[in-house]
Amino acid sequence: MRVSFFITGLLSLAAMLTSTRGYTQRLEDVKISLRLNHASMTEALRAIESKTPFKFLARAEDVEPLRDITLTVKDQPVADVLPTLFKGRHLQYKQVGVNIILKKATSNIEGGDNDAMPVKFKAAVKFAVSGTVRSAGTGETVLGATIRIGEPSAGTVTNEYGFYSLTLPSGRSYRMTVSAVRFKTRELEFTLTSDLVQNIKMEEEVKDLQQVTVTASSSGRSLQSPQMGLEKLNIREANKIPVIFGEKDILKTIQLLPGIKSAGDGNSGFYVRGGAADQNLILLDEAVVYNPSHLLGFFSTFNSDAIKNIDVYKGGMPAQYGGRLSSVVDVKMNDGNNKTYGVNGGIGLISSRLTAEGPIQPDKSSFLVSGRRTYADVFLKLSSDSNVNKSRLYFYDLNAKANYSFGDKDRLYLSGYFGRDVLAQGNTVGINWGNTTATLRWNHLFNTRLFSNTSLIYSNYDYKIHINQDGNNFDIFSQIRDWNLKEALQWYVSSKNTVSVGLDAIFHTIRPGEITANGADAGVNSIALQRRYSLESSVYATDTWKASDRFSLTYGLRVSAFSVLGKGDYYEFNANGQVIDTLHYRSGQVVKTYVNPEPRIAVSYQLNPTTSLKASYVRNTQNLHLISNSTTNSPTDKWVANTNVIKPEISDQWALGYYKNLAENKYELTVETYYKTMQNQIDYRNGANIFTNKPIESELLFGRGRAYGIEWLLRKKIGRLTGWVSYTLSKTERQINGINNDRWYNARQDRTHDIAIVGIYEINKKWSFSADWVFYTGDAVTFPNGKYRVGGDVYFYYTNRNAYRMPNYHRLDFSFTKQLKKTRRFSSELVFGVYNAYGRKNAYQIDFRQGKADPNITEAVQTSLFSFVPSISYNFKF
Amino acid sequence: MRYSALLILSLCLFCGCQKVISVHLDPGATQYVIEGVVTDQPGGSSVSISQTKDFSGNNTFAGVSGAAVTISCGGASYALSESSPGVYANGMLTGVPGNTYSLNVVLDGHTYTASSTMPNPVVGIDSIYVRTGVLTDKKYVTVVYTDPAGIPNYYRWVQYVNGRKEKTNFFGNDEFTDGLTIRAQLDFNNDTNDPNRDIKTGDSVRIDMINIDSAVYQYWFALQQNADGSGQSASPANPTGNIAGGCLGYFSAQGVRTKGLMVGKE
Repeated sequence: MRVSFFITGLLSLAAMLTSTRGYTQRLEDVKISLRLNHASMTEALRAIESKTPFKFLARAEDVEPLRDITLTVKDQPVADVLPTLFKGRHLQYKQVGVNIILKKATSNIEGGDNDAMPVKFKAAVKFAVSGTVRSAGTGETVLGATIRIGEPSAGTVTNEYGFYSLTLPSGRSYRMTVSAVRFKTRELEFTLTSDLVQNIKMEEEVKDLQQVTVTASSSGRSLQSPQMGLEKLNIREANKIPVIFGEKDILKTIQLLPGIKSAGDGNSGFYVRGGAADQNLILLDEAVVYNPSHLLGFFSTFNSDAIKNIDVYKGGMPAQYGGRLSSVVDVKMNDGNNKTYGVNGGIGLISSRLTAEGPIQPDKSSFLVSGRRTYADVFLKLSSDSNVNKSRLYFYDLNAKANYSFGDKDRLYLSGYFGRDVLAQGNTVGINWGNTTATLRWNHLFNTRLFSNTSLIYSNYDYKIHINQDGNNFDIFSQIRDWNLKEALQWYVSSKNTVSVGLDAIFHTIRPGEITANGADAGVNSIALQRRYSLESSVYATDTWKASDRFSLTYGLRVSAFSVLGKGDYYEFNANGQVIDTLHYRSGQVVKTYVNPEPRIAVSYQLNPTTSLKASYVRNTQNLHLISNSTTNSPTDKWVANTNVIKPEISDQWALGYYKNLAENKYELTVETYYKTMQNQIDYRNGANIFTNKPIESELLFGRGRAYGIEWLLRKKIGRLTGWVSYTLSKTERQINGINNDRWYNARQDRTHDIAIVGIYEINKKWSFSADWVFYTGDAVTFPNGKYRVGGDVYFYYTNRNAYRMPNYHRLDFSFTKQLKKTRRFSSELVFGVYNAYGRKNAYQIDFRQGKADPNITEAVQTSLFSFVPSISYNFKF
Repeated sequence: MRYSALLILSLCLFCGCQKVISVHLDPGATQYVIEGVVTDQPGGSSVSISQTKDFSGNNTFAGVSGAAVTISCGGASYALSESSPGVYANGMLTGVPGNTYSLNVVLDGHTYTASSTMPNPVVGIDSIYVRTGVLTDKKYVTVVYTDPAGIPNYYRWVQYVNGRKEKTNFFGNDEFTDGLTIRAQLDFNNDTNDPNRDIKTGDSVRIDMINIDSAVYQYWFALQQNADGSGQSASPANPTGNIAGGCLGYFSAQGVRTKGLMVGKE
């Protein structure tokens, strides 16, 4: 037995480590003999500890001043000795298990006969149990694992590094339940007598079709947490959902969730709760991905093999996120297996993938490298058409990550992404574009309750166009580049309060466009548009307060400051967008600083064990804006920062939600409704030209937006058949002076109805089947009301903006997965899929033109992209 | 498998699938369309007035008669008389580069006014030639011209193949090419698959190079970008012309130069 008094700097708590005991003796039943002669209280307590199973817990400053104690007792119960010892010394005591907690007496009962504490005394001594939750098989940290204590009821969730900390009254035994999606639930017992580090390893769930256990916690959704508007995507589940060409794509899969709407076939853009495609903050290991699409939008930049986790916030964004109005898509890469080396990969119609991972320090740290490349260009080379076989068309991605542990308290993570698209015709014309991100993170545990993460992040998007054709020989280059420093602290104050504070500073450099003439007779002049510099910084603090078992509250404030910096020229404009004044700024000079407080508040109230209600309000601001005047996304779309004229976009969103678990937690029903207003929304003047070196502000108009809707999601996460049904009813409008006679009009992404049905069925151990069906109202579009003649040709006459609709969109996809050979060392599977199985010709765009057959009429022509696209792919792992 | 995959891929990615559909379009109120030009070529100046019509109607646009049309420059004023329905002309009016011309149209009690300055100097074509384009085996005309340095220039080209006007608008400015000798290839997409639009060996080709002012350039740019019926445009709209009074169209004082050739074998 180890007995000691030690003084901790902050709390000066006496504590000790004990072994668990099944039976605790009463103070009345333990007898003791003592002889103290001018001893100190510390010595007296040590003497009692040495002769009994009891331990004392007290503040050192309460005990140490007490000296000169003389006492002799013989074979008396401890229950009688303690009152004698403490009499007149202003100490009260209470037995909690084997511990005897001492507390300085409060004045009103000072000197009373009964030194035992009043009944309402609550143990002031608390300790934290903390640790990291990892997969037993791979050592990957488990994010968002739920940790629950039964009695007294308490709980928490692991953070983005798998860390948890829970502060509990000491001197008690606890039963802790740890659960996470796709892991077996674990139960642990421990007794808390000091801060305790409890690292937890979880076994992966083996899908046993005969026996299905249903647990509330394995659903991954928290009824208690005030967080709402959050969709979590399980990568394993996402990988089963059929996709075009069999190319797994998380950004496509999240579009099957309510409130997240596809921008259409051949477009990886998406709209969240009425926001535009550029209002989504897309993060890969904290780094912003400015253009998340490959191949002009057909595929996303995320290689599913390298992805661990994806969280989509549609509303109620936590205060650590900021910078975009509508959503946060937080994608986390896998850490890599820290137990054994492994390789997995896949061969598909469009691309092949390969991932290697393994330990750096066994059981402690690991690396992962994952690559993907398409090979459409290999097929193009086979073509006999010289125009086709000289074409280059491909993209590739490389994801890499490593982490290294420096003892128990420090861990470094380095992760990076590099992707590139190449589209070219011989050496004559070509464009290549891509993102590069790098994130260096340092996790540090100050103590069991204070978790720190410091990140240094680099993010880059650029494109290069090369033209060498018929006497024109030049390159065009454009880039947006960020350096970002972040510090985030999570302080697990008590079992009721968790505080997050942090700061974030991003230095943006935008090179809007640079033309470089090659040679003397290049056909163009070399011109570089002025670089734009800005500093985006923010601080935030937020507290999650579990006020009672039923009521929780998260409240916080983020303050963002955006400084437009010189050097450069900025302009004043008149109402027609003409420059009336030019202002010159020196290097580093502040052109304008926009400061925006962004309050965030969310509450939850649990009506009963299966039902809860939540409400939230969040303000977001956006300081970077994507300028694009085409309906589809293009690699040459431009990011522009705020200027003296372009102001931060601001949104305010109010949301209410109802959450219910049905049929013994087999089903989850979520209903959320929202109302959102948006300020300083950007649209284009009629005939705007965005490829110009004129100030871009002259081409823009500013106004406001509003969006509201209700989202239903019924989800089944357990059993042979899993999946969900989602339905969104919504409205999104804009009002911009200079457009539509200044009246409100439907935003393009206004979709009245949006339905998705997703099912995954495990037929047997070898086969599984999955299908999805989607339906949505066509986009709001502007169609002509008439036509006229200019220069001998027909042009179209428009009256109202977005007054028409594209045809309704619907589509069915399905896929079969066959598990091939499966041994301990090697497993593989074949996936057969069909996209748009009933061949619906969905409208990609509708053009109006002079009749092809009869030039004396005009006609509407619908273009459809994909109807009935079969695919096959092969995945392996060893 | 591979070949069928390639086939599907190329069909879907590169061609798409098109069909003519019927769309119900509400008729809008009609508006006047005024198209006025003053050129530096004798007999090249005229003003034509027509009206918008419903999408479902045919492509014959009747001229609007009965307007009082005058064009003035400095102290000189020219009344234009109706030479055919909706077309107003005055044979005496030949523009001079550098001069500013004002248009005044009175129609149904409404007055429409505009002014435009003819660019000076008028840039001509150094040469033209025909060559096969990139990613296609179709032939296109390349116009070679020398842009005067130090002043902004705006151009439009009109292409005639065997006397038939190509409907595509070709235009450019010297924002990135000031003072250079430029080879501009007049690329167009034969979206109607009309063989008469394609340039073939033996065809006679004529190019008009039209020097326009900034406002007129902006009109053609917006017309092409937002009013040509393309579904790619995020915000279709009527281009803002330079005529005040509430009508569609434009008024341009423009300098015109022309070159032609017979397409030989490459």
